[in-house]
Amino acid sequence: MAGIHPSLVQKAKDILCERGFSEDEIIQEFKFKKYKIDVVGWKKGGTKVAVECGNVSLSKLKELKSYFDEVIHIPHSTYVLDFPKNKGLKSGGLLTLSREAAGLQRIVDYVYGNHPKRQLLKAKGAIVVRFLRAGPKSLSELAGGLGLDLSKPAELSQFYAALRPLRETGMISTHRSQGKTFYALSYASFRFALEQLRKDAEYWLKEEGT
Amino acid sequence: MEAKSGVDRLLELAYGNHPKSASLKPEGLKVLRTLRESGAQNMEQLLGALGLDQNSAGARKHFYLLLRPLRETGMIATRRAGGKAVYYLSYEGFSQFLKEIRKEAEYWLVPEEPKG
Repeated sequence: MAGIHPSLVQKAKDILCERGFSEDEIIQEFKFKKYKIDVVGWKKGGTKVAVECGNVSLSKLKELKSYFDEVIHIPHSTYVLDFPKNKGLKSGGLLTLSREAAGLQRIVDYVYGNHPKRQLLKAKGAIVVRFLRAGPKSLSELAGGLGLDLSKPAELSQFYAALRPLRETGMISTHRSQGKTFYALSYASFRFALEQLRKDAEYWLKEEGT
Repeated sequence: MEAKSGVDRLLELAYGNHPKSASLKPEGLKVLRTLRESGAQNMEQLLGALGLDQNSAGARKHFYLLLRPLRETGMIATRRAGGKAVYYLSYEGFSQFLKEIRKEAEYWLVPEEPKG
């Protein structure tokens, strides 16, 4: 664990949170056999996921693979490597690059920024995007997907706090139908926001007179 | 006024909303202005423009901290000239950064085709 950047550990926690582990089920520096695992998601009688951050030996990852449902390695880079249990390990192609997970993380990082209070919302944001990829969802369906009870004021405000950055950047949009609010992904408006940034850059990132 | 809100958006993207890094935005703006108005600059010139002591190790550390977000987002780039690193604005670098986000968004923000 020594020398591991806290942001990698935070990323590990975010990934586990995104996979449905509650805070009580996420354990840091988990002692297991002769190893100390950086972060573990442990559901009693359910899924067990081990996450190793930074440098780690391949033999350790291989051994953990036989005990955990999933072993995830977050190296000192932006990509996430994982070993889904149903995929065998082959010599020469040991690490499966989960580009998808890294891509979503990148978008979520962009949307939520680096404010400490927003870090916990990132996992929820990733769930929202994954959930809406299947199609538009009503407010109650979306809240259900996030495991939030909107009749509780604290959870209601958490719901809107999680969604606000996604709406502000145009990633999700809403529409009313049959008296209900529906949420949907909106690539077009997100792209418009990026296009706005590109135009800003056209002025600011070119030397005067060029 | 429009240009001001434009640079605010760029600085927001680079430095984020963390109170510590967001406090670097005014100096980040100075860097962008200097490079835009005076062209490529070396470290000493930029330290001078920022009013930082060129001989202080703390000032140099602050300088690298200040420039890192701008470099990571591709807004500024470096090249070697006369044995020294020279910093310059890079619209192309930033465009590439945006293009990568757009590509990820193209995958994640377009609903999946129903299976079967």
